[in-house]
Amino acid sequence: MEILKVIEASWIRHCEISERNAFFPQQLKPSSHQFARCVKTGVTWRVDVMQGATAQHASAYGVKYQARCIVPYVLDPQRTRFLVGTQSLREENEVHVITLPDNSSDIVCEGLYTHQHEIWDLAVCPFQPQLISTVYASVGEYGAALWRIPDRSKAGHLNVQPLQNVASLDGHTTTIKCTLWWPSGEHNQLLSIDSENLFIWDLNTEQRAAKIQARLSAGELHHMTGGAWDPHDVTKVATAIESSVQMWDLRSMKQSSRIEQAHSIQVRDIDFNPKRENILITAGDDSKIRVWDVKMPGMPLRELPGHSHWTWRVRFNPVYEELVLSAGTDSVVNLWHVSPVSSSQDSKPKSPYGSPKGPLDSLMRAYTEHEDSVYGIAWSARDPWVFASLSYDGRVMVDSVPQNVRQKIANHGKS
Amino acid sequence: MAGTEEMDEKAKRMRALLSSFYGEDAGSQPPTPVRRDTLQGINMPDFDSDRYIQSLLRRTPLEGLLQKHVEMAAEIKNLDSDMQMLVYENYNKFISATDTIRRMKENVAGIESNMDQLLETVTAVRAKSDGINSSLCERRERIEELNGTRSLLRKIQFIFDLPKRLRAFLKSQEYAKAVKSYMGALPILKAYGNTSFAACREESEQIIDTIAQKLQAQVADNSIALETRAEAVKLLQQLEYPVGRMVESYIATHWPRLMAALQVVEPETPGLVGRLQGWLKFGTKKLEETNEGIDPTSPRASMEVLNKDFIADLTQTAVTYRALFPEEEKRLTEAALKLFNEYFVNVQKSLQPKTGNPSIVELTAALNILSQDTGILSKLVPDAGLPEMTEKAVERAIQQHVVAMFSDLYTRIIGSLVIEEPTLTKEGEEARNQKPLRAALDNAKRVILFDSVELLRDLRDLLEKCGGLLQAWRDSYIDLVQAGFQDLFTKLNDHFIQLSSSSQDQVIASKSQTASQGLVLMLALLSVYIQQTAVPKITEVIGASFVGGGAMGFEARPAFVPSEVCRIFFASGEKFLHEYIDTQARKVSILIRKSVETPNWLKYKEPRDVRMFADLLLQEVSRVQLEVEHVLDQGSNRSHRRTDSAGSGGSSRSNAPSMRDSASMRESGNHRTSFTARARSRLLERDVAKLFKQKVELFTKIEFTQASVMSTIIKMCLKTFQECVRLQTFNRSGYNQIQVDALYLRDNLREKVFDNETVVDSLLDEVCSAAADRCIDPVPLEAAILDRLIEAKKAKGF
Repeated sequence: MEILKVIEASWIRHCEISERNAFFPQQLKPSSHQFARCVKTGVTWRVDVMQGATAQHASAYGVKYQARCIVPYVLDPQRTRFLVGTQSLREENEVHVITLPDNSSDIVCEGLYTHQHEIWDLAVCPFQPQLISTVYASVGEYGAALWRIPDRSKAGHLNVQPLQNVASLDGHTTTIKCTLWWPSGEHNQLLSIDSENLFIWDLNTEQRAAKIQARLSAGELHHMTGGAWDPHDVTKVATAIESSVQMWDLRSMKQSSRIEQAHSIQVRDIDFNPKRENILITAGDDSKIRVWDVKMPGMPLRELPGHSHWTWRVRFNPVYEELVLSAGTDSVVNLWHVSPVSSSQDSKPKSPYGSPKGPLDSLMRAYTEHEDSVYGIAWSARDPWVFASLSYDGRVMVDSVPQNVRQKIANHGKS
Repeated sequence: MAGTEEMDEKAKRMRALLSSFYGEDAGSQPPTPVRRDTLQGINMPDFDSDRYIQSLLRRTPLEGLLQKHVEMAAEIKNLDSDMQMLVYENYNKFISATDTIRRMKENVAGIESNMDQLLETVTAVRAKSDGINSSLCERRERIEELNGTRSLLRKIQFIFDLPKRLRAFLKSQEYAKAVKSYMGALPILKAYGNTSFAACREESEQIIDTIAQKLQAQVADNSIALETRAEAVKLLQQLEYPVGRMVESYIATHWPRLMAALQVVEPETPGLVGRLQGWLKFGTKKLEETNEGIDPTSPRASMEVLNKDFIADLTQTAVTYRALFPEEEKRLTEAALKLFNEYFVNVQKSLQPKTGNPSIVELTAALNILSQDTGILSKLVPDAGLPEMTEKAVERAIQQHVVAMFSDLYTRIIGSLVIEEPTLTKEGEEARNQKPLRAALDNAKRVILFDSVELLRDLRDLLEKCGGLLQAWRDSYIDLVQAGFQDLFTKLNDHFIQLSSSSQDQVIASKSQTASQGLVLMLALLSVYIQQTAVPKITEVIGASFVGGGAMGFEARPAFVPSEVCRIFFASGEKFLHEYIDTQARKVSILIRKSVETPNWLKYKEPRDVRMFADLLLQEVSRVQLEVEHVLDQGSNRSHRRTDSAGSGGSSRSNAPSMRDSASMRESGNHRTSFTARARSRLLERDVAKLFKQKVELFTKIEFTQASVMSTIIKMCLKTFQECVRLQTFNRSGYNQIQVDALYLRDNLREKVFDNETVVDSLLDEVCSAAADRCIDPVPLEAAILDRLIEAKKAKGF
């Protein structure tokens, strides 16, 4: 078995993982047990990447279909869990609950739930982890719905169960892009964004119903692609509208400030700094990553080179704001160190053409294990040093922040 | 004969005797030891006569004894006579002495009386003389008194005559005499001027004043010989006329003229032409003649103009001054200093004419003239510290010159960064041949290298030709030159960055101009050129002719750091190339994005033709290619993108799956009933094929070659195509349309990416498979229909 594992490890660099990986060359056929798992749930791999003296464990997992969405999942605080939603146009889709047990580096699938339509976006209710929301599409018809993950105890360990529908968010007329849960604490409000409107939903889980509380329109000619809810001020929402970032004030129900030309062509993702107010980070089709102060929309505070093609996702580490994870269509996951900027003391005027990249901002590590565009990244909700990434071909990689970077950040925190 | 001999013998003996009598020296004379028994020792004190006799008796025979006896008898006789003679002679002498004494006694007796007589006479003479003296004394006193009166009278007469005499001198212009007489009379006039000689004094003073005035006039008069004037000054000085005032007035009369010579009409018409006109107005016809044929704006000419008059004038003035006022050197230095300050201001101006930059030859010539002139001037006025001033002026001039040259070079380089827009009236074919980018690039390269080298050569010439002037600060000059280059390149880099960012802005504002696009590429290439060619070359030249430097000390870094410049430009070059590629790729990407996002793919009708965007895309790519072709190397054909060990087998391998893929898909399309099962096996098959297919590394390091740039742009675009397709959902016709578009693009793009055709193939395969994945009914178009559509398109296109 050990030898086989080594061979597997080297093999993994050359082949793609998904359902298709079940088809092995004869001489490398895994044990029957593993093969069974391959067919049913996907394959678990273990890749040891040696870096310096310490071994960094990167674990891989494959889902059957193409997939875009991965989110951290907090069922109980003892384990690192992620939810993966697949995106297959013609097959029945799945939501995987995967976990990384502490005592091993093999990713285990804890639960597999069917979801009829292809999943374009996935969000977990922060206070009620059983509750999730998906944005789905069925033959070009987009919809959004809330689901309850069925109790595992009622079924066998690996049995496939359908998600229980809680409520549908009906009422969107254009393509729904994403749903946003109330960012802090328990609240029955939910946001959904389609390409022209912002819906605020009043949720009643008991009655399994969702009512439209308010609707904010961005105007017909605008195409929103996503957004983020400010965790520091729940009245603020940022949405990506083509090349700009639009701030919304939910109290007055109006658009507030706007970052024009945040990225040329298209803003792909927005994330708020979990530790500092008014700071957000954006990624876009010009492959750059930029850090902004909402109060100063003219000039980015920081600019990172990003990726070689589009930068699709960017995420602040929930605990260490210096750590930023980004994923791009160049199949690379990048880990950045962005020196923290506070909104008040910063911003010496930068030269108009010089890159505002600070000396401390640097690429700490590039993870290149993926072989297709990476659309999903997620920091673990439990261990701030662990993160997962998901590429379009369905491969999930769970990696951790290198030891030297941890030390650097720890030192920085002390001083 | 015998008698005289005997007499001699006698005399000798006598003398010996006398001497033995008077002195002892005779005894010590013959100390020779002799035998006692011979006769020789007879005079010795220890002569033993008895022994002698005995030995005589014993030895000598009788005959001999007899003979001896005879001898002795004779000897005794002789001695006896000698004795007699001695006595006689002494006696004789005694007698004569006695006689003399007696005679003396007789003579002394008569002297006494004579003496008394003499005394008497002398006394008488003295008494007589006293008598005469006393009688004459009275008269002499009177004569002396009279004499004094007379001289006094004569003096008074002189003073009374003074005005008249002065007037006469004045008339005959013998000022020197006049002054001399006046100076003679001055003490008296001073003493008694207020009383007895008032009128006289007044008159003479008036005359002297007149003379003084005349003298002053003389001094001021240039036409009179210098000696006369100098004499006049001396006379005036004797008259206690204040020389200082004279000096002042001298300076006051001459300096304004000199100043004017320097400042002619400067304020109103700046620049040399104006000054020249001023000179002409000033009325020097000579200048008019000499300046014909010389470029009036050159510094040399203006230096010459400046010198001819001013220096000659100043020299003359100073010589005159020195002749006139040899004591007043300090004042001259002071005044000259003032002039020189003005002079150097002018020199500075003429070295830095406002109209353009002087050529190095002109400047050198001007500086040489300056050094010559200041040499003359400093000989003229040694204390004015001219060499220092000259040095400073030269330093400043050269410094300004160097700075000006560098800024000129900078402006020229910046000016060269312009791409001429091909004239739009011409046909496309002609514009194709014009290659404006290439021309602009070559021009800029030429400007950067040749002008830099030329500048260096000029500066080296300057260093060599003005070596003497520069000696003191050669090191700082070299530093200046080196720092100039450092500064030039830093500024250039900044400018490049600014240009590129401004052109970037234009792109963002979607006012993209081809010129500004090409500019970024040009900047990239220029950066590479500077880094690889220009800087090493310049370093070489600097190393050859500007050795040394480091006036700031050894610890300080050198002023020109080629490695740093190279590093900066290397980084910039990469950045610009990336920017260029990004911009181009973005433009094409926008086309693709629109083409994918706009249609409603779910309700798409059967494809009839290749869509417009494909043509637009190709057109855009061709444009980029044209631009790139002009300026970049072809690049090697090595397929560094493949990690393939099987070499050429790779391309067929990567083509194979797509063929198989479509074949199987077609097959499945024919048997719709068993779709699901077949689709599964098909997917499996495709995935297996994919396993063996070489992965195309999309994002590689960009090189400065056509191949690299083109393939990177195309790869970026096709990747965008794929990503956009992945976000859509297609119906069958939509999928087929993508197929058609991809096939058309494949045929046309292959030739554009000449370093690795398989990249296009595999990327377009990816696009198709992405479309298939996103298609609700992925039935591919039949190959025949595909081909027909492409053929139709081609037929239409050409």
